Amino acid sequence: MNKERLYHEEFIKPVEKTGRYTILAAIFCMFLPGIVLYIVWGLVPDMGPLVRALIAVWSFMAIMGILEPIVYYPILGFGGTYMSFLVGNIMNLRVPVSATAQQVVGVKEGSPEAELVSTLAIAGSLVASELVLILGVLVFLPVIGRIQGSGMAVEVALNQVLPALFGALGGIFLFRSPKIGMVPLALAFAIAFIKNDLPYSIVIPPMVVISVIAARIMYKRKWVKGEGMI
Amino acid sequence: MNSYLDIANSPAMWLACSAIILVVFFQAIRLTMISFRAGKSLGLSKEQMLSAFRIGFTTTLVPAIAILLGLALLIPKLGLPFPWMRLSVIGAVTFELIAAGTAATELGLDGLNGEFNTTIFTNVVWTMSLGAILGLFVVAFFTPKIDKLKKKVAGGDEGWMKVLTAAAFFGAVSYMVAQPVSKGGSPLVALVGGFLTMVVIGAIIRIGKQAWLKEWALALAILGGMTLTGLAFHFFNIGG
Repeated sequence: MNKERLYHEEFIKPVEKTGRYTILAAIFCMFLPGIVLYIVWGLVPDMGPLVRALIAVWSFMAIMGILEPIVYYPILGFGGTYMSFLVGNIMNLRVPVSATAQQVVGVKEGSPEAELVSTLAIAGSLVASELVLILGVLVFLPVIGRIQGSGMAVEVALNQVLPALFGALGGIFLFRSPKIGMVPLALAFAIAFIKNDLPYSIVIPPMVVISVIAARIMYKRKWVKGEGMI
Repeated sequence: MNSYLDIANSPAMWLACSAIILVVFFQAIRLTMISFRAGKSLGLSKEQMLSAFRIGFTTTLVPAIAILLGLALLIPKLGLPFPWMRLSVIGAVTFELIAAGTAATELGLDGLNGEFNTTIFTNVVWTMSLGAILGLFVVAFFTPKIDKLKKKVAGGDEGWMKVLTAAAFFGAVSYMVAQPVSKGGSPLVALVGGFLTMVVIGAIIRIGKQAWLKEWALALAILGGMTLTGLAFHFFNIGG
């Protein structure tokens, strides 16, 4: 058997099989909390608000869900893609981990050897991530009551976690790509000062469309490039 | 305390949330075994393969601690097991907070500000579960055909795809960024605090060349915003 064929038979095929079935299993497991809420306590979601929330969330997650695997695939490789999208933290953890391992072991970019090294490194990264999170649970478990029932100033601060996040995201706009952020942000400010309690399901989908159109025009005119964007 | 938090922290929830972690471990171990077997046939040495796994493991340990800060931010409203599961898979505190905030807002809350109950908790669980599912389906079915998919989507123009992703995300969150400014009070203080902390950290990363801070930037900026809010309330009675 030649090398190319060997690689296909011994790596690509079994990885594809394992990758697909583990992700399908994970998708099922993802619904277990919701299922348990129903079976044990008879809790079902309030459908109208749930659908509206999902319209808002899906209007940007649909685009990101399709594009991210395509954009990261060249770096993560075949096995790495299955693992990275299951566990997340792709840009900040998996990508640098894969690149470092390929460099240290010294394999040629894009070769079957590089693919194996990337897969192994990301597998190691996955195990480390999960262990740290389990450790985190052990740390938080004894203090959970204290976090939940805290005093006034802390309570006020905890209630503002979302605005704090959006402030931080505003900072990221500024550093990463002020030009792309400009149009949706200016429009959003105009809308928010007229009416600041619109349902997200009504505001977000058209905002996504407008932002994408504006970015398309800027990209066509070469005002923005794809580098360092995500 | 609150009955919904008793549910959120119940043994049944722990059980429901643990299953997926087992899937992650199973996947990582299976792919490691496949790689080792294939590597032997392709002429990689055992040392090379072990070192690849070890590099992945060790370089992840410290930055992964940053995820725990995000976990701490989700616990007050959602209990421990569900946020633990969410950040163990797919795992981005940004998405989880936005999904939770959107679900709660549709039920009449002001974002995550206010008392949760069982209905809100249930809707938050379902919004987070369904919200990020599409990417997983794409990976499950299209990874082997990703080159074909690439040509179909955006004509294979990688630069545009990156711009498009950023534009979609910016479009989605820009109204949420603008809202606190028009509201004033605590939300505005939190927004400004989060923004300023991010700018300072961003400057340290860029100018001081401290790349390791990147993993911590978002969680620290959120904490910065919240700290400023708490201080403004405590000392100057702003917001509440």
